[in-house]
Order: sequence, then structure tokens, then C-alpha cells
Amino acid sequence: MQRREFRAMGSHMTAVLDADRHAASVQDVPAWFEAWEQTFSRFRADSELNRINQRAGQWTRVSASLWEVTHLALVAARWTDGLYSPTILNALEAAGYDRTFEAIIASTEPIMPQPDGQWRSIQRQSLKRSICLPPAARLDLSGIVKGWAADRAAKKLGVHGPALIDAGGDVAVSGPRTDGSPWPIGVLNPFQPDRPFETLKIDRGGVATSGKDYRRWLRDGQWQHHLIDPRTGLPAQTDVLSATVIAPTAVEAEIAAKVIAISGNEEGLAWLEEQPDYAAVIVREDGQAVYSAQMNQYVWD
Amino acid sequence: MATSKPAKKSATSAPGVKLLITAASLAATLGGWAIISAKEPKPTAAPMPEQVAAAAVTIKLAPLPTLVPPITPQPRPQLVTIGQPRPAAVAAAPQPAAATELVLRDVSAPQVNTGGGGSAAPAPVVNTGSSR
Repeated sequence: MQRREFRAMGSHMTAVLDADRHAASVQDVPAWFEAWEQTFSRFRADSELNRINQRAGQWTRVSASLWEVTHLALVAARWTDGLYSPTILNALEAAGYDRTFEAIIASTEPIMPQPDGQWRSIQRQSLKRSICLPPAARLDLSGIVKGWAADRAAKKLGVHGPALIDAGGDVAVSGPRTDGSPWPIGVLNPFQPDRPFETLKIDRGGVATSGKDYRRWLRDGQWQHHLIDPRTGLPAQTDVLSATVIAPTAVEAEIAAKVIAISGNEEGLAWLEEQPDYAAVIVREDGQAVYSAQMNQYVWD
Repeated sequence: MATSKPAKKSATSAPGVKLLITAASLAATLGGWAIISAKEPKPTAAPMPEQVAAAAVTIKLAPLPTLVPPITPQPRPQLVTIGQPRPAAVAAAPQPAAATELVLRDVSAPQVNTGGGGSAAPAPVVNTGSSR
């Protein structure tokens, strides 16, 4: 088994190939992520994403990758009725996440709520692969791009053998391991950082976790986090500390986990149970882990 | 230049013609009414809308099963709270359908077994957590 760990997109990444040959392909994975980061980063002034954001109100031709992820983001926004939104950047920055997470400093400035629904006004021309953002709107695909990248990289690496990609907690696998067994994937305990409280068996698709236990900061005397509720334009205030979702793809798992974290345990779990082929374990702020109906089949006994 | 006026009709024949035309018109009108009245059906009491509807429903339909489901007692969602033991241990006990089951596990307390999973679970290849 070959393994490569690196940092990209502000997160820790891991690529695993369950094969003795094709070592070079595992070493290629960081370069794939570097190219994607150059496209999607909001912290790189010369990224393609920032170029589009600077041209809000005008038509801009975009790369195939940005076109694909924007399409996925808009599909996800409709699917979740706007609970996931690709245009929450203004609200995210207003909450204090206006620089890389490592560079955020505590502030006493109050937050100005910025409810969002601008994604509904994004226009696209598929023949010209062009996008036109509404004036003053800015695209932020950070809530979906790691899952997309994990899926994409797992598929590319999977050509050489069973592959797993962990993109900062958003995990995609190309299929079962060489011996036919599922991949063991731990679910970190938000009460005991870096320690898993559960081990999942995943042989296809993806698993992702979203939560407010890690990316958080002090603002105006209160803890803020990066999970913005587009309905209020403020960090979501729910009883969910973290939500881990298993889905047919990592990007679906990432979106579903966000929906649960934003809508709360009861409403989020009810929504998830309506989605076929999804399972979840939710850790509430009161310390209770709640398992969805289908979760038992993924828990390693 | 002198112009010749049209010759006036005889003043003595006009009243007779007018009387004849009037009489003929009256007779035609009365006669027409009589014919129409004779052809009309005998008046009957107008049916009420409910009576019409009742007469139209002659087929008895069986209740639609999709719209009128049989009333059966539904098991209430069961709340199972467990501490350190894993959810799989609960699964061994008799349970209602999985869809109505809510399994809770307290993960806030320090855990002795920090590897996650049961004794048979291998070490995780990677871990999933809030993006870091």
C-alpha cells in the first residue's frame, strides 16, 4: 500500500493506493490539488475564482473544472433549497473568515448579518461555458470543492488500483481494497480531537464530516464558525457539533453534512432519512452521538 | 318650370287596407303562440341540483387504498440511550423497524478504547472530521 500526505486547500490531504506498483501516480496527486487550488482558492489573488468575482455583472468564460464545480454547486443549492449556497462569501467574511483560517484574529467588531440567495441569479451559457454573477455577488466554492476534488482524484488514481483520497476530512474511495474488503475510516470525536469514536467500513462512494468544532474563532466576544446559515447570514446556531455522512460520492456527503450541521439534529436527520443511500452519525453538543437508520451497516463491529 | 306631382292614392281605400293588415298580423301572432304552446312539454317541477347528482352516482367505488390507508397502530419511535457500549450491542436486543430507531451514544466522556470501532475493527486508514 502506498501513501502520500500533503497540505492543500488549507487542509491536510492523504492519498492512498492499494497496489504495489504505480508509485509515481500517488506522487502526482499533490500536483492535481495544486492545480485545483489555483483555480478555486479565494485566498490567491490570481486564482480563476477571484477573476470571476472581480467581473461580477459581466460574462466570463471559465475553465472546464470551474464550470463543472459551479454547476454542481447550483444543483446542490437547489437540492437543499438554499441551505447550501455558493454565494455566502460576503456573509462568511462579515463573520470574520476574511483571511486564511490560520491568520484569523479575534475581533470585537459586531457582525452584520447578510442573508443570501444570490445564487439564484447566477446566469450560465453552456455553449460558451460562460458565467455571469449578479452584481456585488461573489462565488465561494470552498464548501464543495474538497469533496469534488476527492472524488476526482480517487477516480484518477483508481485507474492504477483501489484508491482512497482524504481531502481534509472529505473522503472518496474508488472501490473495495485489493482483497475485497472495505476501507476502515475513523470518525473523529469532536470532544477528543484526533481520536476516532467510530470506525466505518466504506467500499465505495464517499464520507464527509462538517462541524463547528474546529474552524471557529472569537468575534464580538462570541465563538463564530464557518458554517453560515444562508437564511440568516450568520454562523448557524444549532445543537449539532459535527455531522458525518456517507453518500454515493464525497461531494454529496459534504453537502449533506453541511445541511445537517446548519439545520440541526432533528430537522437534519429527518431530511437525511429521505435521501436514498445516505447514512449519518451526528454528534450533538450535549455529547450524544445520533445514528441514522442505515448507519449500522457501515459501522465496523 | 312647372312640375307634375305624383297622383295621390285614393283616400277612401287606405283605412280598409290598414285594418286588413293589422288583423292579419294579430291573427298570425296569436296563431304562432298557440302552436308553440302546444308543442312545449308540460311543465314539471325543476329538479334540485342534489337530486341530479344523486341520480348520476349509480356506481359504488371501492375506497382507494392509496388515499384511504387502513388504520393500524404505528409503533412510536423508540429512543435507545446507551453509554460506552457500541450501537451494535443494542442491535442484538429485539427492536422495532430500523427506520423508527434512534440510537444514541455518549461520546463526550473520555474513552478508554480510543481506536474507534469494536475489537475486530482494524486501524483506520484515514479519519474524517471537521475540515482541518
